[in-house]
Amino acid sequence: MIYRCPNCNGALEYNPITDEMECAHCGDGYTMQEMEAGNQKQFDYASQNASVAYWNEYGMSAAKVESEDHIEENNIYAEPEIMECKIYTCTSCGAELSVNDTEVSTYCAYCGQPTIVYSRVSQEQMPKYILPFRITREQALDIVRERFGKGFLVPKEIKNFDVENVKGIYVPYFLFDAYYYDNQRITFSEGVGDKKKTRFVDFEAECEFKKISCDASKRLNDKSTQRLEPFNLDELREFEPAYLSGFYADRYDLSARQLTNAVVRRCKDLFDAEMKRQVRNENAAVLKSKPKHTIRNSEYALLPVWFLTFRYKNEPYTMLVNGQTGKAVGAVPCNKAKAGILFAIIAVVTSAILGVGGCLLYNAGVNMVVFVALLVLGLVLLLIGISQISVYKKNMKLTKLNQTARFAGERQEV
Amino acid sequence: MNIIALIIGVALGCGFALMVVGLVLKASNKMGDSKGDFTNFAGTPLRFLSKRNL
Repeated sequence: MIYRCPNCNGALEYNPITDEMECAHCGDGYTMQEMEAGNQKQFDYASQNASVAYWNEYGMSAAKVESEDHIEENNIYAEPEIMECKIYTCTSCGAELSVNDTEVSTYCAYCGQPTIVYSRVSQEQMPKYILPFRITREQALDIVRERFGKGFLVPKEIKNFDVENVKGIYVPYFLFDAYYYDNQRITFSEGVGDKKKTRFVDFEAECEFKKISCDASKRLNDKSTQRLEPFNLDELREFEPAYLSGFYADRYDLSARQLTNAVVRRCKDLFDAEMKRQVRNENAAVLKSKPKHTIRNSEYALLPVWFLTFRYKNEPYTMLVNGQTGKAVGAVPCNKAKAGILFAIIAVVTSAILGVGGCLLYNAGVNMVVFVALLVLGLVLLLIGISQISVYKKNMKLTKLNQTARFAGERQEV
Repeated sequence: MNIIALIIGVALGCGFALMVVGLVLKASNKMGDSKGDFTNFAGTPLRFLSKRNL
């Protein structure tokens, strides 16, 4: 389905800045209320004339039908019954496009019109909510470029990087409301030196969690998507397909039931972190735990994310930008030669100063204990450096994930 | 024994240099490590039903 401008018949796309559907040709804008209140014929170029072919799970070509998907779900825990790849006929230019089994919104590769696969967001599969994009494509690019510009060790080629593609994608999520209770025994240390004491505390506590977000796409790494949080979910809106126009979107391929374990683990992590904050001790250890939980509700929502992919030394890097808040996720590549030179210069200068200083101290008859303490200090500084570098390497691994690059890349290009 | 003082000086210098490089890397990757926390998802504050020091 394509939303058409009643003025000039151009394709309408959602504009995050004005919060309206705008025509790229004549510039006219329409609010969501106007879209809803307007004549159906005015805004919809309905898919009645589109021909759709599909293959059933046995790989046999079925008769051409004009109707929608056959995926039926009795409740939110049902699995899709048929995996399919659709050939869709663009209602604007008649080109045949292949759309994978989770794509909901895309572009025609031939005429560039934004296209919504309406059957995938209708009836049982309709998302309850959508969080519209607030960050535009240019703003997302500026956020990432500003971050690259600041890094001292960022390679020069990256500072003016050529983005391979920038895609605004509505990622499918389930939002869970849950009750969590735990009966724990924890231990932690209090005080310093002679006054240090080990304490044991038994407690029972409970809380209600609202709208814990879990990404419902098999093709995205959870560690990457969790770092996009938090979304301001107070701005969620009732779903309207028009919001998808001008962006890509996927439907879920992990059901709410399949995400239950992940949600419960998340509740536990949040609960434990808050408990440690309450006892004012990050190192508190849980010795015993008897948790109980109840999933009260789950709701299907689409949340906005910008995916920016570029190549450096033939490797793909994908930066993610929260499409609502502008939070950027992803490690910045490092110029290893520059890092090595920086290390060598600092090491030589400080070693020379400290080495000479050490000799003077020794000649002055300073106790050996001082030298042992200095050696321990050196080892501590070494460990701090190693831990920072390993955190960076872990983040870089997520940024270079082929899985994320494929999720963003394997779509129709405009 | 002067050699030991020199070795300790070099070890301290290298440790300091590695720490500086690590911190520079961390500074250029400041954003994007944090996840949503309790306050982002809590419908109610954590309510203690009982608490006992052992």
